[in-house]
Amino acid sequence: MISFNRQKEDIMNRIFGSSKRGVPREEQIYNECHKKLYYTSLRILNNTMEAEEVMHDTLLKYFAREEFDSQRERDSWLTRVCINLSIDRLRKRRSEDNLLKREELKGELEESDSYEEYSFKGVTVSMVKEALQALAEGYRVILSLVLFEGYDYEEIAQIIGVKEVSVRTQYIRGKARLIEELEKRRG
Amino acid sequence: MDSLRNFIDENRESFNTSELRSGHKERFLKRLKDQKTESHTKFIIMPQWARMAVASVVVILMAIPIFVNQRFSQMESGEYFTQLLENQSDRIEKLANTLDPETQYNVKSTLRQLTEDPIPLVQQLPNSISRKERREIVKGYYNNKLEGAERLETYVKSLVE
Repeated sequence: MISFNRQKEDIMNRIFGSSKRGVPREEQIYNECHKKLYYTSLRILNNTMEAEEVMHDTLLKYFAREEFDSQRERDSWLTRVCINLSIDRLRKRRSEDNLLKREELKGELEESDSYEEYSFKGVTVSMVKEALQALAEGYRVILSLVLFEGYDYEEIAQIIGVKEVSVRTQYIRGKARLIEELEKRRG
Repeated sequence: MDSLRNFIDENRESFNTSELRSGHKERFLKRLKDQKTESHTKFIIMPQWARMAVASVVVILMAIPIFVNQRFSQMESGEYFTQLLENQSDRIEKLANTLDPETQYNVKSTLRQLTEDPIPLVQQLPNSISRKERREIVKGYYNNKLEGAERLETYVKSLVE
């Protein structure tokens, strides 16, 4: 019954462009999606103003095109567009074609899984957030896409335009750097 | 086990707590309104030449069915073919006027046989047949006449030369 009512409401929304409560459909979708898009972009760009602009651009792109068949499809499209727009901004900001070519990412860290078992005892969320913000852009992007957005190495390689093996390497290195940053903060 | 991944999964909500700048929604709604206005006025702000081009295409597209229908009606009534035959007949007559009287008489007599119908074909066709069938019959009938006139014109030209 609930499903039927939702379907009915959805059809009414599509026809009349607004919900029964009088909130325009665009505003409803904005309320539903804006936070996730904002945080996704913020983790990549590390700049609140730019993250807001990207979040707006993503939703404007969405409203300029056709509807999606399901909410899942819509959310997946929105996230992908938001990530692409954020990465485009990073590239413009640094005038770099490839995020992973940046010198600061070419450290001599050993590829190791020794950080797999790192203990987070005494580590807080704000410490991790600060450590993430302190990382080089390339590491931050890859760590964000793997850890927060749930993309695998292959998908990230497609998004950024590098080899899958590079993404894996940079993920391991980025994680090591992050833990180093955490160690500094933990004292 | 990836302890970093576990830590983030366990505290996912706590990572998304920073506040957005105030007025973010109003700014978005303004941009959305601008986007809608922009797409709505795209046609209006079209340059003059583009509007003229669009208008011309519309006129041409509207005129094509009228023209086709008119041509079909002319074909069904035989008017189209009669006109072609009359034009050809005029040309032959002009050429024949330069010939000797006997040949001139023979040519004009043959021409009359080709062009004159005591009872026009269209009047002999039953009303029950479709427009397409009518067109086909009329076309076949006049094509024979036009081919004959063509041959006669070639013959007269050869005499004049």
